[in-house]
Amino acid sequence: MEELTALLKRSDLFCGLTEDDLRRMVAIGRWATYNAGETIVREGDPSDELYIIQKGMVEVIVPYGAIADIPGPPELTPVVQLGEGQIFGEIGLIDRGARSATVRALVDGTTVFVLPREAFYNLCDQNHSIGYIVMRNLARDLSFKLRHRNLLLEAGW
Amino acid sequence: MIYKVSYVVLGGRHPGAIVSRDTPPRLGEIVTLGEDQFEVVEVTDLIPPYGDFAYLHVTLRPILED
Repeated sequence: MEELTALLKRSDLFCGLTEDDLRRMVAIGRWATYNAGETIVREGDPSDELYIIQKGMVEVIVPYGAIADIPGPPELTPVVQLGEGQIFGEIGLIDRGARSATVRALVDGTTVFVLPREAFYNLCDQNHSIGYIVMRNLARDLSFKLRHRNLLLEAGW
Repeated sequence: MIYKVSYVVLGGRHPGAIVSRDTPPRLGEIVTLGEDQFEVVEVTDLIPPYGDFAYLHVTLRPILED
């Protein structure tokens, strides 16, 4: 258990949680491993899980240039790569909307910790301290990603 | 300290990356993203540190093979 909680400590999503809080997180989640090229979440699908990358790297891709009258799939464009300690799936976790992007593994053995939304929300409801800390960290992560995106646009992406 | 880094690559050919690392990035350092290598040309604070985490922005330049 200590090994698992130590892994979660490497993600700032859990910054500020106690060892006991981390053990509760581990208890409601599961681990999954993917090979390079495997899709982890697909844009448009229902979203009910949050993912934290423990090992490896993923690529977030969105369809650009989609024209409804032209048959065939739109071109998929990568918008960011995410490595160890980063989270994805947070938008759907928060707003309960469909997946906003497709995410696929970039390297073999990419391992993620998966938090189911309902179990996560139940834990936050039962323990408001955990809920406050994690939601604050989620907001900081979204802020960081927005700033990263702004810098990317400035650089001409 | 864990360094959460926003990598932005000059030239618009790479989507950039967000990764955590145990050491701070340094000017001139070579960074590998996927199969490509880049040189660190700028390091700045993106947002203030919090807890054990520092939040940095790094500008990268592609290393072109001859």
